[in-house]
Order: sequence, then structure tokens, then C-alpha cells
Amino acid sequence: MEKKKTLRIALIGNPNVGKTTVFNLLTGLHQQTGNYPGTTVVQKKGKIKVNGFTLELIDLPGTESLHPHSPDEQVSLKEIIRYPENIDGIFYIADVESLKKNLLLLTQIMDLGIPVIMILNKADKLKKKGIQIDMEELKKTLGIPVILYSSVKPEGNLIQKIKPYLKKLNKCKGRRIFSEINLKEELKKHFPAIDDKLLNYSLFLHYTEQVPCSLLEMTNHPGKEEKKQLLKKETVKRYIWINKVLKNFYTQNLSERKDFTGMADKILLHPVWGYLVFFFIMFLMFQSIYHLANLPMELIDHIFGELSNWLQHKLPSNKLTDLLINGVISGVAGVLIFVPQITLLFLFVLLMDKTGYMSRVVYLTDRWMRPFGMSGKSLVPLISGTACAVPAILSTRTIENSRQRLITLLTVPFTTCSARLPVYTIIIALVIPNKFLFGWIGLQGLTLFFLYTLGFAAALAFGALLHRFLPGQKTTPLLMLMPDYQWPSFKGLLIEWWDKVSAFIFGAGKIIVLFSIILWFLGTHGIKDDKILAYPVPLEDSYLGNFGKKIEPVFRPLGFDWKIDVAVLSSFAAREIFIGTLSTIYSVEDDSEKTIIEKLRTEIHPATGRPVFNLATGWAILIFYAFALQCMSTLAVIKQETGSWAYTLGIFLFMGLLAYISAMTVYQILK
Amino acid sequence: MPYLSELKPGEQAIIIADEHLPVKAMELGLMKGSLIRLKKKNPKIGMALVEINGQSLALDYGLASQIEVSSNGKKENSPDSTDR
Repeated sequence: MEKKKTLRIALIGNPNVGKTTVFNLLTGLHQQTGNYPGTTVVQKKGKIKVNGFTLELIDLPGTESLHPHSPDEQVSLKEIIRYPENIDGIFYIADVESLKKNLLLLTQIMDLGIPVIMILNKADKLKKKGIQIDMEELKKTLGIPVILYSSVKPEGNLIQKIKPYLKKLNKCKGRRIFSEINLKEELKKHFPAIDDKLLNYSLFLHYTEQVPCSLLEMTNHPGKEEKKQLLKKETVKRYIWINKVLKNFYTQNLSERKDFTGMADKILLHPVWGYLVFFFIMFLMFQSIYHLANLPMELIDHIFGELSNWLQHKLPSNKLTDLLINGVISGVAGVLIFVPQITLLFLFVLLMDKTGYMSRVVYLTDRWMRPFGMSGKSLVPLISGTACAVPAILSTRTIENSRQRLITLLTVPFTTCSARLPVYTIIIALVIPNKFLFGWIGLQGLTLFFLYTLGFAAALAFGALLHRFLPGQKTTPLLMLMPDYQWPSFKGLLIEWWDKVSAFIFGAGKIIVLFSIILWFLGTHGIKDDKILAYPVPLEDSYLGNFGKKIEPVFRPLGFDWKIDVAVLSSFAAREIFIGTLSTIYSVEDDSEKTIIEKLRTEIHPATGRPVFNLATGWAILIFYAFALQCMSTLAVIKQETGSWAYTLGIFLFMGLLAYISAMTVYQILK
Repeated sequence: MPYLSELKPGEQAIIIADEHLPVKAMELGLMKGSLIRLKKKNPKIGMALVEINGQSLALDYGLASQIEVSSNGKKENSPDSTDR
């Protein structure tokens, strides 16, 4: 291994030890985040160069042991057991507070003979918690390098601390306790015919976790109860060993610890105050998203308006200029204008997660989620769904109960994701007056809060419906570590925030810009009586116009005109395209220097003589988008996670039908 | 023998039976011989908060009602007695 220049290193550890923060600090922005940002439900990879070595780092989901209890924990097992040749070593992240528990997984990894460097995180808490660790004794006991570190208050460069061990990584294999704790004897009972040398922990894992291997062809895998008893025996034997060695290097004086978390929990977990604080935080979040983002949004709108005007005057008046201004620039503006709101939303969700508050929300809501077929853990995907349904659906892998997980992932698309936000923002600005109740509660912010609440309510109602009809084990008792409250590292927070915002800008953004260009073409070109019309074609005679008019009867009961129909249909791939489409349609039709909101506000319906975007139509659009599942990525991930076309198409049709009927009802009442 | 849910907040006890506990609970340290402290119980919310191995653990109140503990709890500063 000394000669190997590229080392593939997996970051492994228990949940809540700061593993992802360490990964972010090590890799900075040099990471491939998989398809979607979020907590480590998919593998994140990053590359760094150290002392002539290229380190390929893989951030694996947190797990308590190598025996997975949920789909996300299976990732670690799969990586280590099925493809051990792919890993050159492990950076094992532990934390000083829960060292005893962390040693359980570490002893399992060391028993596999994989080289390990331990990064003992949260060193800043040693004093606060009255903990003393004899580092030399710890290293001697485990037989691996141990680096004491704080990812929140880092002292020195972590890479520099790791560097000396890289050249001799294959010597960092540590102590194997498999035989020491008589697990080998246990395995021998099941494999009396196998040579003693082949009885190792790898075989134990292959046997208990039903991972195929050549040695196991001669025996059956254990039954459910037998496996449970084996795993319990293993856990007990390892803890006995850990207890025995722990007292040699770990002491904690409980009288010295400062328990800020305990004091905060008196309020935040209180059966009355806890809920009030939670609802206040939610309310504050949606009011902030609307009002704090207002000024930068207007600024972005103004800058792009000015840029378009400037280009219009400077460039020759031809097709290319038209494409640039009304196709490309209007598309880019349609993406960037929502970045301030999305930034705030992601910051709130990240802060709730990283400060440890999200776990308190799980504690408070577990019981109330049960009638809806879900658990407290379902609330994390549901709240994350306000950012994007795709990582939220992936994060359901942390739910152990398969039925609760299925219900949660099918209800997530009802929560209001950031792609709905552009639609809501524009429509609310058009039809809801900018007035304040009691002088401080903005009507527009209140409407947005209502729409988010509607999304949650619909998710819960749908959950209750599924709970009634789906078969399977109904509940699994909640068992969850509650991390201490902490202020996250600014750098780590920034990296994760950028991960999410950039996914919106470059992921959704390129689709929006592409659609804008296609729509510009369809809106400026056309065919009539089998003859291609000369450019520029009036919008009504364009391909887009003709298509919109053909489908107009379908959406007429909802109050939509043909232009809205085109925008609705074009956004079936992704909701955020709706505003981009309207923007392109009106830019194509109206060359004046008005902003998009001004253009929409002054649009008059030729049949009724009333504004197209009136209260009834506006609410119909809002309700339609609250329920319709217009997101290809979400459908793809539902198919991937459920493995079922029936669930994927079922949820798409159900939500589409619900959206149509609800929007029609609202329009008919308000018109 | 009392059950964990019968302790008063702040009281400590030793777990004396772990047969009914799931494997995950044992991995988190809830096992026979472990010293456990009840930090908070909310039967109305259906949850209990305990401290084990210096960490807070939230668990379903129904599960807390099944964990048998020793009747004579220790003082907070006693060393963990998970050796067995």
C-alpha cells in the first residue's frame, strides 16, 4: 500500500458524531454530492491531495453497528462487506461524549482487519462535560492512531494531523477482539466443519446479514430469532470488553458538567411550550422567507430588466437578439430571482438540523404522527421536503419500519417544496393585497404560511388514508439519540448551504433555461394551412398558441386561459418552469419594458374583460400547484425507492386528480 | 421490580432484564447491568428521555414501560456499573 498513490478512504461513524462536518472540512468544495444535497443518505465523495497522495473520501451514512436496522445503514455494510477491496482505509469519526458507544462499531471494523485512523471529535466539549481521556492509553488499547479534534472549533489543520499516518496506513489495523471475546467460539457452533483459521468476523457478518459468500454455501442463514440472539450476544460481549478497557483511559466527573441542553429541553420538550415554540419557529420561517427576501428579489428583477433594455438598444434587432433577451435572459432571471427565498429556506432547515433542534421536533411529534401511519422520524423528511422532495424521500431511509417509510415517502410530495415557491410568490404578489393584519402580520406571508400548512395537512390526510389500507407491521417504537444543542461550524454550514443552493441553480436552473429557449422558439414560430409562417409569428398563431387553444376546454373550469394552460403543461416536468414559461410567453408577446409582474397584472381576459390573474384564478392556480405532482425527479426517486410502478403512477394520478378537482372547486366558488 | 417509566425524573436505576429489548436498543447501551437515569417522561406525548453512557436517548413510553430496572437507584455521581 505504501506505493499506492490514490487511497480510497471511507468516513464511518455513529450518527451525530459530526462525520459530515469533518468530511466537509476535509474536502471543502471539492466534493461530488451525488445527485442531491442533504444529510448522508447517499454517498458523498470528495478528493484531496496530501503529500503526494490523492485521497478519495467517501462519506457513509451514520450507523450504530455493522448490523443495519434501516436502509441507509445498509450502505455502510454493503461498502465494507461486499467490496472490501475497494477501501484502503477508514477514518473513524467518534465523539468524546459517547466514546463508549462509539467503540462498539469501531471494534467491529477493527475485527475486519481494515486500517483505521480514529478522529475523536468534539474535543471542545471535554471540559464542559467533565471528561478526561488518557490519549496514550487509548491509542495503546486500540492499536490505531487517534487524533483529538473539534470540527466546530478546529485548532490546526486536520489534514496535517492525518498526514504522518498515510504512508504507513496498512499498519494501522488495530486490535482484533473477535477471538478475545469468544465470538469465534460462537461462530464455531454454526460451522463445526470449517477450518479454525477461516472463522473470522467477516464470516460472522456474511452469515448474520445474509451476504452471499462461497463458505456459506454449505449452511443455511440463521432465522430471524436466531439472528437476533446472535446479534444480542455479540453486542453484550463487545460492551463487556469495552467496559473493561474504558476505565483505563476514560473518566467523567458528572458534577463538573454544564447541562445547557437539559435546561433548554425543559422548555423545548415541554408538552405545551414545546409545541408553541415549534409553531412559532415555523411561522417565523415563512414570514422571513417572504419579507426578508423581498428586497433582493426586486433588485435581481430590476437588474435583469435593465440588462434586457440595454441589450435591446445595443444589439441589432434580429432573431438572435430576440432569442438572447426573451429566451436565455428571461430564463436565467426566472431562476436567479428565487435564490434569496430558497437561501433563507435552506438556512432555516439546515439550522434546525445542525443545532440539534430537529431531534426535539421528532420527540414532540412521534405520538401525533402515529394515527397517520408515520413516526416522529417522518417529520424530518416532511420538513426537508419544503426544500426539495428528492433528498427528503431519500432521507426516509432512516426509518426502520418499512410500512412507515413507504407511507412517509408517498406523502412527502404533498409538502411545499422550493420549486412551488416561485409559483406561489408570483401568484400571491398578483392576487393577494400587500396589507398587514394588526400592523405586523403580512397578508401575503400569511397566505404563504397557509399554503405550506395545506401541504402538510394534505400529507397527513393522505398518510391516514394509506395507514388504513396498507398491510404490514404498523409501528416500531421510537428509539433515538438526542444530540446536545450546539452552534454549527460556520464553514460546514456554508458548504452544506451552497450544496443545496447550487443544486437548485445548476440543477433546476439548466432545465428552466432550456425550456425557456424551446418555448421562445415555439412562441415565435408557427405553421398555418401547411405553410411555415414568417418570423416573428404572432403568439396566437405560433405552435405554442395553437397548442394552448386546443387544450383550453380542459382547463376552462379552473379559470385558466390558453397561456396559463401552456405554462401548466410545460411545467409537468418541473413546477418551477411555470413562471419561466409565463415570463417567456409574455416577453414574446409584449416588447414593452415592464417587469414580468406588471405584464401579468395588466393582462385582460378577452372573453370576460376582467384581469386574467384575479382572485379566483389566482387561488385556483395556487391550489392546483399545492397538490399536483409535477416533478420528474420526484417520480423517478419514488420509483427507485419503492421499486414499484404502481405506487409511482398511482401517486402521480391521485395528486393530479386531486389538484384538478380542488382547483376547479375553488375557482367555481370564488369566481 | 419497577419499570423504567415508573421512576421519577432525575432518578437512576440499573437495567435488570433485556430479553424484550430490540437489538438496536442494546447497541445504544440499553442492556442488563447498564446504569440509566430518567431525565424526563411525557406520557401525554408518549415519550421518555433517559441518559445512558452520558448520552440522552429518547424512547417510546411504551418501550420504557417494558424495561425492568432495580428498585434502589443510585446517586447521580456513581460510576457506571455495566460490567457483568
